Amino acid sequence: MRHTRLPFCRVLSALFVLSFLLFPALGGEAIYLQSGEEYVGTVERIAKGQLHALVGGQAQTFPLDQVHRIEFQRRRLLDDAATAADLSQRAPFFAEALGPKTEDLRRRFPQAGVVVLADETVVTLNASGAWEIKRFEAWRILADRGADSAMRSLAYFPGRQEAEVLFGLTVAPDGAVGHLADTAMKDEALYSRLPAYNFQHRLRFTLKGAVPGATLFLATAHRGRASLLEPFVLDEVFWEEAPALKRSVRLAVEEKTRDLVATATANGPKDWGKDGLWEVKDAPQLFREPRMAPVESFAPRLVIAYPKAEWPDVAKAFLERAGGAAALPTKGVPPRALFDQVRQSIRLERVPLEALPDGPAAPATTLVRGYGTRVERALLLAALLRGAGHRADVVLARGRGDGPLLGTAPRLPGLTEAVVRLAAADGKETWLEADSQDRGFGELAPEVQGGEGLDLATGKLVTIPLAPPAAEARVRSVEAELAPDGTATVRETLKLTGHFAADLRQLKDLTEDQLQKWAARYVGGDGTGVDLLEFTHSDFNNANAEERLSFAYRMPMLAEKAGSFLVLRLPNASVSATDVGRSTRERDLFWEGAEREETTFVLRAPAGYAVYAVGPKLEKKGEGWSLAAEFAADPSAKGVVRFRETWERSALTAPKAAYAAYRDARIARSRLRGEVIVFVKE
Amino acid sequence: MKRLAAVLVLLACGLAACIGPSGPKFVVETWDGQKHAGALRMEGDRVGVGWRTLNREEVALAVQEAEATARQAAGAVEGLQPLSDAELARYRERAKAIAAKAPGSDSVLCLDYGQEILTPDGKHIYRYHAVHLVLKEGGRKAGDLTLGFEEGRSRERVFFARSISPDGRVQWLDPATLEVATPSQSAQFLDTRGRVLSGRIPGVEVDSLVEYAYEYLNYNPDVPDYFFPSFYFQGDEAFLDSVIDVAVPKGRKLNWTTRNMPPEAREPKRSARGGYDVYRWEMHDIPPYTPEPAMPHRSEIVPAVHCSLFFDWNELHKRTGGYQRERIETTPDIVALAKKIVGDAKSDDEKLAAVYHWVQRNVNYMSIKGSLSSGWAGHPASETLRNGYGDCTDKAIVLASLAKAVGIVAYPAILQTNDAGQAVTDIPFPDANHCISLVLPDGKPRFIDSTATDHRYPYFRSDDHGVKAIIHITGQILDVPVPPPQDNLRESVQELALKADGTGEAVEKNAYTGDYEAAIRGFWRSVPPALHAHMMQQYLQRRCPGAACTGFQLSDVDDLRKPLTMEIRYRIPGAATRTRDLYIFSPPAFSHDFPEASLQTRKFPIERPTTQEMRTTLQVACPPGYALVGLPEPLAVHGKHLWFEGSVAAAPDGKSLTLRQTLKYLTRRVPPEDYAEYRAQATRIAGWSELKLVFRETKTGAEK
Repeated sequence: MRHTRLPFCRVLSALFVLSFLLFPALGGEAIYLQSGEEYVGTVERIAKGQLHALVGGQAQTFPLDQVHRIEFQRRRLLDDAATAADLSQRAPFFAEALGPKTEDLRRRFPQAGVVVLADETVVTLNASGAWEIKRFEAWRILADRGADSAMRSLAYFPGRQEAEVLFGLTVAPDGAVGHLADTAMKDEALYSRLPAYNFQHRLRFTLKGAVPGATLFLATAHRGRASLLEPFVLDEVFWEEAPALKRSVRLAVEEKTRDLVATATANGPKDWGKDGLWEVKDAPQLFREPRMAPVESFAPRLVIAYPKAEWPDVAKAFLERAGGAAALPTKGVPPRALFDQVRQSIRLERVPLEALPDGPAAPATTLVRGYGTRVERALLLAALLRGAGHRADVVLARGRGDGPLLGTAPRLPGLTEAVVRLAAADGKETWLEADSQDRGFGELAPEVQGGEGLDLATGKLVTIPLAPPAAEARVRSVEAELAPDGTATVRETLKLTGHFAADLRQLKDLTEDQLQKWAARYVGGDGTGVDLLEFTHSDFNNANAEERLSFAYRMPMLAEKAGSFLVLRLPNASVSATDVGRSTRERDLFWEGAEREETTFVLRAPAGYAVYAVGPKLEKKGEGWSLAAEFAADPSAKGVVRFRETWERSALTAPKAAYAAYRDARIARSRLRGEVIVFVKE
Repeated sequence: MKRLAAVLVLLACGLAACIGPSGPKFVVETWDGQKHAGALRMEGDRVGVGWRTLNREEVALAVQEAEATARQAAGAVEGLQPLSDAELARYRERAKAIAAKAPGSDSVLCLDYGQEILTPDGKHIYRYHAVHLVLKEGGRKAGDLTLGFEEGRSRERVFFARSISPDGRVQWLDPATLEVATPSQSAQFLDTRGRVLSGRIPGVEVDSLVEYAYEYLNYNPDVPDYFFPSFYFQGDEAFLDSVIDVAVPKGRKLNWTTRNMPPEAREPKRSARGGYDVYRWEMHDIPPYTPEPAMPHRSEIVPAVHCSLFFDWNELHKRTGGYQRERIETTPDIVALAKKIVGDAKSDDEKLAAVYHWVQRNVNYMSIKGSLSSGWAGHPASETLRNGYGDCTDKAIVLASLAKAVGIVAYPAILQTNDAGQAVTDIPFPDANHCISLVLPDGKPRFIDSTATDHRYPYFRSDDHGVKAIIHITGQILDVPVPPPQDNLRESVQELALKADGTGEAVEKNAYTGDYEAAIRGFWRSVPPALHAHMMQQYLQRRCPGAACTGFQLSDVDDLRKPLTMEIRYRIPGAATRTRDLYIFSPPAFSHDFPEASLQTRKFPIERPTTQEMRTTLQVACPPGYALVGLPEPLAVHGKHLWFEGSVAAAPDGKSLTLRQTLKYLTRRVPPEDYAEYRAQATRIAGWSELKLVFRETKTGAEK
């Protein structure tokens, strides 16, 4: 006969009943007095104007009129368990988790701060639309750096969903069991400052005794009701930064509901999900690497969406909620002016789409309110453009950093960004993003470039275009004039486009005085004692296609005298190679958006000096990136050295095999920037 | 008559039935969010609220109802009414004029009027009336109202709020759009008492005037005399009329102190209004301040007034010291634990070191505040030990308990960290954000801070240095010393062999003390061992791109008893530049920069957490076939705030060089009057430390 292990949720259901039968007197109530004192104990009786309690094993009485409030401890499963042995007797789940010795686990996972012993999620979907996620976790703390794992939270929408901690237990290394205290739990609003967006809450709590050797157990339940407008979606990645002995998702669904559930998987084993169970054993510990692709792109992943829908249905449902493909009357206003109207006069609220259970506000509402989320601003922009007679559609997008969409499970959650596609009469498209006051007309955030999106007009999945490196450029030119004492007067200009420009436009928030101080720090760069002489800049409020800054400054000691030589390096030219510091990597390379940097330096020696030595020339090229740089003495001008460098990257990903060449180029670039230039006195 | 009596009794019973059981009224909230109000009783598993009976397991919270009102003498303070059109027009004009002097400001705070009132029945009222002129997008935040209060003790009420566009169109905030919510906090902080009343004033655009007035009423203060008004008269926007009225019942004495106020504004204008003595401080046409790098906290530079009803510290010492005393416990379990922790340690210092290290590592940081007493004194030591988590106050209580259990005197010491501005201590005023410990090993006082996780005894966190600490149990206010620079040290002894091809082989041995040591230890403790080499390799790229780490050893980062040491061996592909007959070498990680000295002039002091010392000795084996062209002159700077000595010495045979440099930051604070000298010295040090040693090929080398 085949033995089938009972799912832990069923074991727990039995435990739940049993636990209440065996329920002991609870401790852990907090009594707060009017005078500001507090006591933790057990309230025994409240009568005749007195509160009688056991505090630290001692009987205490408080006049009731002096009691400000009493916080009761919630009854939870397994409240009566006092030792590891008690738990082990209740269910094999506990015995299995408590079985391995900490030392053995440390030997097996020497890098881990915690090891997940079991992580079981049970999803129950009913034909009525009701859904429930129960999650049971057990983990062992192996080192101090794992202590933060005791801090947990569960997001939910009050009034629509329920969230509950079934139990939170800590088995100390000596076997004593500590129970989650309600004083260490808070139900808080995530957007309390903004009544218009105040929907999402989180239940936040901390388990006791998270010290090395402790085993922590947590069971939570999250319940709600699904519909096409508010579907149930589980998006689970099975590898995390802590190694896991076992991680699973079990789907319990009524037969008649089975066809209404969409699932999509990636990177999982063959036959994954058979019998509604997705399980990964010995999930490895993930080590973050610089420029690493999102975990979702290579780790086993499962998406469950209920009710099942097609992408056009998702698009239609969203548009219905968001006020349809509205048009607001703006006849004759050019697109750039409408874009600037949204950019400058609609305050951006950083509230993600998934925090709005009723969907985004309609464009007319956003216009009247004068504020909106990224998605609401995009919807308003499209409506204004349509009102002016332009063809404009909204595309809901997924940032590439969030990993692939997994399009076979159509769903709204996961599409967190929004861009607007503006089509001219000649068919030319301009993509606009209203995600920031600093984003200019036709600029897209690097995060969405090349990412997937849902075209709300057609209900089809599309790819957001990638801007060419020339549109994402930083052009820097520097001219330095050396004096015989090694000081230098430097003139520098910066021209920025794309995300370089957007990043810099934040300076618009500064006052003129603050901006001057910023400029002084900027030109100070690698040195000390640099005096800013002049600073001008374009008007960042305009979000110009190209932003310009120019500086003039005096450096106290650019060059050093050694005998008859003047020795110097390029001023403020260092580029970091720390992100390619490691010599090998485990994962492929990943970037967001393209980039181009053009740099020129002209260094003029003082009269009577000639160029003695300059750095070399360098050319490196890889799949999707290139570097060309050279130092040269100016043949037409005595005592003048020129440096030119162009770095360009259009690749968004590269296999890890390409890392060595990429690293080599980046390090070579960094070294070249530090090369010395030598002038000699004639 | 009897009949009448019976009727009266029946009537009384009926009346009682309407009112419900007697006793203080509570609002009881169940776990599923239902609320019931009435007298509270409990017997076994039954909880009675008024006439309703609940199962105890259903009940989440019971809060005593208190009347959310305060008794006030009539006419105590002026009402807060919307300003007239003429007044607003004058403000607009004045605001434009002052804004022209500070171009680029987000807004101007035209009216900044506060009233702090202590009512005769001990309630606290704060009323505020503001008018802003919005000048830039960022200034639209003036239209966001987020007003905090504590359920069951206080409440907020918005009198009115409106925006006035340049064309005179007025949009009022609909009070129905205001919402109360429990605000979120960051992961390590948990206070379930706080609520916010939030709303957004409609129509706030650039060039709008925004006007609002609200009232905060603390109708149920923990301690009625804990009335501590504070008011700041400057911000990062210009202020036109900044006024605070503090009203106390007639005859009640008020203590106060001012900071950064011009002499003429320091003394309040006093008046008597309807049973109150009113004290008014005011300033007008105050320009915004512009932040500077490494400047002190805002509270130290802006004009401010702080008030208190106390003229000595006795009450504050008595109450908070009392809470602390109650919480310091030496139960048998705590004594046993303390003995286990100190093991066979003999001296007080050894015992204290063991306790200090244990508390740092075994009580995880989690701040749970539920009342005035836990706010100032945390929780009983046994409770914190049971939970395994606590905040600075809890850790100080646990440390004091464990120390006491092994015969060492220790007290919690409350302070304001030096990154949060100097605490007000010249009048009795609760002004603190942290709690550390005053310990007396062998009777000698010293401070330690067990909220850290990586500090080796007796070093303690640098943000505690140089501040005032209040020892409530002993009734003392003490200065926390600023340790000397060598107590925050990085000493690096390095060897570098330069090869003729420009490559180099380096060995670096570092030792640390103080905060420097704790920061290095904390970083490496957070990194999984398998990533140590990668991380070091990454770090090395900053000093020498392309460097390859060939060996990396750390002493045991987990063992707080032993000083941390680090040894790195690495190969540098481009340690020097060879160009023509020159070989130019800059020692890696040798240069200093001083970003705090980036401005040509400063208005505010430079403030750093503590002093610091960095010593480096580098032995360089010179590249064969090359000779040094000129030996750099040594540099010595012995300033008031900076101390530096640097030298390069060549061995008699010319085959090696010894480079030495020591930089000390001698003080925490550089006042503006010392800045010019400081910058000049910093520039000289930075210039010298950017060493470029030029070697030239010798004849032998050339022939080779």
